[in-house]
Amino acid sequence: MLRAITGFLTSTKAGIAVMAVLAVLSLLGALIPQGGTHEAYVRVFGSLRGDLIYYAGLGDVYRSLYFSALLVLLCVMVFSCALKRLPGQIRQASASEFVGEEARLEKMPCHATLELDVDAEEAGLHAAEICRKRLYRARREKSSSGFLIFASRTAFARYGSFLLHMSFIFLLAGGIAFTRFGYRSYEDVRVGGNFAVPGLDETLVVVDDFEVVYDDNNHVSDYVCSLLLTEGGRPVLVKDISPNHPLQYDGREVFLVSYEQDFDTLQGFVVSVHDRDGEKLVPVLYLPFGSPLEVPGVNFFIEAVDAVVPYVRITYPAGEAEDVRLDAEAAAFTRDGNLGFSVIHGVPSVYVTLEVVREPGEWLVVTGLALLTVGSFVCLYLSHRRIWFILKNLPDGKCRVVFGGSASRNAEAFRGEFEHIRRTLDELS
Amino acid sequence: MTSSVEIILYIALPVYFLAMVLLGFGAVVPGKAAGKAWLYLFIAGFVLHTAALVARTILASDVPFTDLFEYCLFMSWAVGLVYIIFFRKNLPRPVSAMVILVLLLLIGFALFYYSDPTSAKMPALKSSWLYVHVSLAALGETFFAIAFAASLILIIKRNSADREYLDKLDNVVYRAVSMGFPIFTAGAMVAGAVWAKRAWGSYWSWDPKETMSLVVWLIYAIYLHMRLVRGMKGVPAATIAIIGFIMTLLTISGSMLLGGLHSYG
Repeated sequence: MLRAITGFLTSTKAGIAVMAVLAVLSLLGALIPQGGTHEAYVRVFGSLRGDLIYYAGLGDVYRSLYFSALLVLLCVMVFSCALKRLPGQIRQASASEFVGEEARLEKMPCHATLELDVDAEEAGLHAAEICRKRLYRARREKSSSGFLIFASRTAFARYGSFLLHMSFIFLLAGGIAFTRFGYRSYEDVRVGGNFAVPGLDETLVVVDDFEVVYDDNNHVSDYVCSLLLTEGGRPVLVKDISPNHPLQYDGREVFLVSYEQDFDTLQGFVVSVHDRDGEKLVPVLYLPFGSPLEVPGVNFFIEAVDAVVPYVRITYPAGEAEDVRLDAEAAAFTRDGNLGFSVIHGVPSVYVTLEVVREPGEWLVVTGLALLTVGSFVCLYLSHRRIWFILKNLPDGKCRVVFGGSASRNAEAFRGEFEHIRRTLDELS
Repeated sequence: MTSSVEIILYIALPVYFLAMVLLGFGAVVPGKAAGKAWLYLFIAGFVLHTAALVARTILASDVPFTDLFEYCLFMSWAVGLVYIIFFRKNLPRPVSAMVILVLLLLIGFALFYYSDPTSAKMPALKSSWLYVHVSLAALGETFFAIAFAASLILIIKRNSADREYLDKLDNVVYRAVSMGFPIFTAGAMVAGAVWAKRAWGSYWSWDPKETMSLVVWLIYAIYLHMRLVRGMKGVPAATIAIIGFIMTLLTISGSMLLGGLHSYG
């Protein structure tokens, strides 16, 4: 029974089947709108297919039990396969034995025999030097009839697939850590409002401001939200967040997700200020409710006040104040008629949606992603290359060199390199 | 009004096309009929293609990575570049012709979705991760395009008595996939996930384009396992490579239909 389970978990065929099923389910999940209701699926796909999609869980496939089970199964299989192959990989990567039988070398994918006009020792030194120049680690050993050489390059390439497969375990562990200990929440907050950071007592995030930034062509170039973080009422951090630039604090991150304008609730007015003859003193002036502004070029403060009928309050240098009711249709004037205000438009209040994330398993995910990258490159771009030489002294100071080698990947490139070594060595003949 | 980029591409198209026809002719009538004329034409087409890419970069004041037109323009150019650097010397002529056909189709697809270079770049795209993610993903897919071209020829010539030729095609497919897979992994999957975390707060959101990229990754992972562990070669392996590239094309264009976080391109 145990053998059957182990056999299944380490079977390449079974692993490929699980990957194929996951690929098909993922594709279905991408094609079928997720999170719909039964009625919605029946309406879009018809009765039979709608029922099938809904009851088979294809409408929420990524959160279905069977999809999660398949992901876990794939990770277990990947882990089992990686462990099963590891001893062999270690053996091959660390093996550095010399080969003394010519017959063994002649069976290798690349092999050659040369007769050189130097003795075995000199030929051996030369062969080892050629290999070292090509970044091989070469070792020599004296034999009864001459020398033996073993040269090896990028032995760690053997561990590429292990690293690649282990990345899945880290990614799965990161996912589990997030599900178990992390959280993600969304907060809709009006500019000026605040919310409590989940899990942090007395920590508030105040949304101070939100601004849509435009470029010279009047295209939206950025969204900037000014946040103030307070602890027990005490400000501890001020940060402008925008897409790609979240706020980070005490293991939490706050992201700007979106914004929305509420046209039913204004946050101020854009007005033009002019004199009694209609000459504009300030062509465009934004007056937010509750924030007195010093009018440029005029010696008084002006403030918009939110009321059933909104008005502006003018505070003159002497301290006296005057309220002027705004009229959407016509200009409104001060009592003496010297100053008029025309409403250009109301400014809707803005809600921002912020995402608060705590991801305690982030280092696991980052490690997994790093292993995935390194593993795939090491696995497919590097090959463990090994060459064995047998050098035997012949009469008249000559020697016979039999050598053979193999590569774990890219046999074609190795053949080219082997041929280069053969030609270089043959120059001694 | 037709832009300078479009004009250059409309000139490059027939040049590439002629190179493909000459290659095809050379494949059908072996000998010196096509000579090296196709190569000179191909290089001329590639120079024009490069000019279009540079012109777009200047007009948009940024590297052309932000929408479907720019992605296909860059990817088709990368197909030409990868072909010249890695495959020109050892690809059979019919495969070279097929590579040019894929390149032409990508340019055609790009032109179909031509966009105004001065249109605004979404704030979310203003990140240096854009360059890493998009360039590597497109480069990885470029190798898959070459594997696709060789696979098609392998399947067309599957009954050929020349086993050596079929083995050569099979090796081209494997070589292209094994070169493209790590680049695709680093660009589409890893850099994409890291950027997604930075921009959206999550490494993985099961967004349609993300998911379809995962499907592409799984298909090529299956190909590599079948080829390396189970020794699968020839038509079955080529079929997986073809399915992989069809899925790649769906991934590139899918977000136009499926929306999601990648709906801009």
